[in-house]
Amino acid sequence: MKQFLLVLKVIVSNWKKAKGQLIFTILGIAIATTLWSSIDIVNNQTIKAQKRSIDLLKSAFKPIIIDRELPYVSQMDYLHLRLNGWVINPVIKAPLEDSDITIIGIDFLADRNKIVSSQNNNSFGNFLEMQANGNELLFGSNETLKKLKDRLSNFVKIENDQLPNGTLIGDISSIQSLLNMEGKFTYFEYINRSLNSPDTLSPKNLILIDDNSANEFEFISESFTFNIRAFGFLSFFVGMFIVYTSVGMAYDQRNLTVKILKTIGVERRLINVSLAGELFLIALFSGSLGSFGGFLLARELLPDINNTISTLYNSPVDGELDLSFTWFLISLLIAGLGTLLACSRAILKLDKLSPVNFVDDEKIYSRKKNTISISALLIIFTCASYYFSISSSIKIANFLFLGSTIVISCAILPLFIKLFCHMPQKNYQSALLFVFGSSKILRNLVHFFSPAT
Amino acid sequence: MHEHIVKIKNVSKVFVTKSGSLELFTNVNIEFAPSTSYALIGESGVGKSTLLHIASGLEKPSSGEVYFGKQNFWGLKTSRQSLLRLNETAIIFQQYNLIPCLNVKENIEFQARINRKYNRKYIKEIIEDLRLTRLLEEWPESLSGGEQQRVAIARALAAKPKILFADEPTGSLDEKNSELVLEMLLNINKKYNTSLVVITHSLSIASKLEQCMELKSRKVLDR
Ligand SMILES: Nc1ncnc2c1ncn2[C@@H]1O[C@H](COP(=O)(O)OP(=O)(O)OP(=O)(O)O)[C@@H](O)[C@H]1O
Ligand SMILES: [Mg+2]
Repeated sequence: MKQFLLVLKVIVSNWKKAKGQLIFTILGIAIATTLWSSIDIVNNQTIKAQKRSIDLLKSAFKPIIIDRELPYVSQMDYLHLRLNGWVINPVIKAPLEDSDITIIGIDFLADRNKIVSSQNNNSFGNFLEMQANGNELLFGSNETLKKLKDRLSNFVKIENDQLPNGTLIGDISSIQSLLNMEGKFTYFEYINRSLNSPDTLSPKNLILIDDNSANEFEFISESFTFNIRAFGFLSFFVGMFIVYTSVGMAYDQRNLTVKILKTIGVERRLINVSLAGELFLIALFSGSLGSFGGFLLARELLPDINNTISTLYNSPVDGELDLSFTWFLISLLIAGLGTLLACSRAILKLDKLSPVNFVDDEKIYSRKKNTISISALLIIFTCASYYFSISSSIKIANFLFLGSTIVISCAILPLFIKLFCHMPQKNYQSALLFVFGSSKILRNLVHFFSPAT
Repeated sequence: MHEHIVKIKNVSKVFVTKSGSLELFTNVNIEFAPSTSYALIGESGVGKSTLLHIASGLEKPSSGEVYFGKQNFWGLKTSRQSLLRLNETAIIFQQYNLIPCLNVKENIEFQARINRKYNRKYIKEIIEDLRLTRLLEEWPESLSGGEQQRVAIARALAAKPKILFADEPTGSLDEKNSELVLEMLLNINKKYNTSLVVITHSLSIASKLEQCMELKSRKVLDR
């Protein structure tokens, strides 16, 4: 044990000469864990919403038509369907910000029975008159309207106690502009269709969901969760690549130390156990940091994400994060495994190191040449996938583009890390500021890739 | 009975490189007896350091055996090999091989602490004798060549080996320091019965040791 501590001390004190690499290693693991764990949280929210929306669907709603890939359907879709003889009602549905109220926009003319069916004091004519006078109307139960206080003051609020609590209904055009969703709807309610209409939906992106096709709905939701999982995985990969590079460099400096330890007669196993022990400490520290970061990031993004998810699944998500000790442990475990994986090459290299040997310079040179040709290939690949992702509807091209961009940034990263590590000590601070600044960019990236409301 | 600490038997070494194979020596036999001092001389590049690495168990011979006592070194498990090297040998390297992330004091104490022969008083004496007291907190990289060499010597001495291998231990030292170091080496050789193997280019140093061998034309000859 005493020997282990002695060797561990030597191994750890190597970082004294490689402070830059240490910072990058810790940051790399922390960032990777942050991204992974925050996306995991988001994912859990999604799964919750998904379950609820499927339940909602199963509780016998009217059949609805939604888009396979987008969280909304468009005016064009509406026109196409109508021209093909489908009778549908457009609906817009979203949670009202900072409240548990769902706001629903419907076509008053087509769908008025929802609000005026058995209302005595508000006859239909009366109601049309108010519309015609340019008033924006909003219907809700007494309780719901009370909750609103003076929000949405440009609407004329009409009490209607037949509506369930927590629901507001307005005319579709006014709700569209309220939610910044001009020309977009959440879904179409399917009423029926003329006999001679084609029985497949004409814009191919649309899908009719009724009791028989609830499974398909599940499938769509899964593809979305897969998408963000994949994004989480890619970002984890980037973080771990940072670790891979910085540890690789830090370990190159360790060659000498490990060689000398071996010449002195320190057992190989003891050296490896110390290296692993050191990694364990680093992973524990940075992993905790990262999980905490993930929690903060998820909390920051949650309102937006909840919005997105709610619209996507027509089911409001609660604003609470589900956090548990197990979740924290799993994040740590993932951080640990990632670190081990990222460092395994460096450790194996040290393990193979014989105490008396020359460095093979030629090998290093040929590796450099390889890197250059691989980078060239990657750049071509990225351009191609970018071209496809904008010029065609092949969805996978988007994903490939994202993937190869990330791989390329991985290829460029070592340069930055090297630059940083060779900087004089006093510049560290400003560089760190830069790194934290770029975390803002990361946040925007997450925004960008979560489907827009 | 075995009268040696380390014995090398029919040892040959060939390096295979891109430009062909380089045969350093063939069928070398040497027995290093307890409390005896040896000098190994020979031209530069002839393979003295390599022979020393083989004798200390650091490098595997191309053929032949190395015995630590009765044990055939290369037939042992690697953990056992490490243990033997740690406990029975110490090497003063031609390139010093100080651990860069430890300061002078930690470097000197390292092997002794790992092999559990750490003795504060003894180490303090060594440090004073080698006039390193002033440098204890320094990093190896900030020392001159001669200072680094003295630290390497101190580390080897502190480990109290049964056999001490020294690869040109006075190569970077002035005459006065060279004499001092040689005196110390001979002193522990007598006082602690430590066998001493010294590679040197200086015939005057070689003459102060009990046996002198020369590596020449792939053979080791007694002089
Ligand atoms: N691992 C190796 N691979 C290939 N060649 C090696 C290796 N180690 C040593 N050599 C070669 O073996 C020869 C002997 O090297 P060595 O260091 O043993 O010489 P030396 O007698 O100690 O020389 P010097 O007095 O200059 O220290 C040299 O030509 C060296 O280039
Ligand atoms: Mg030599």
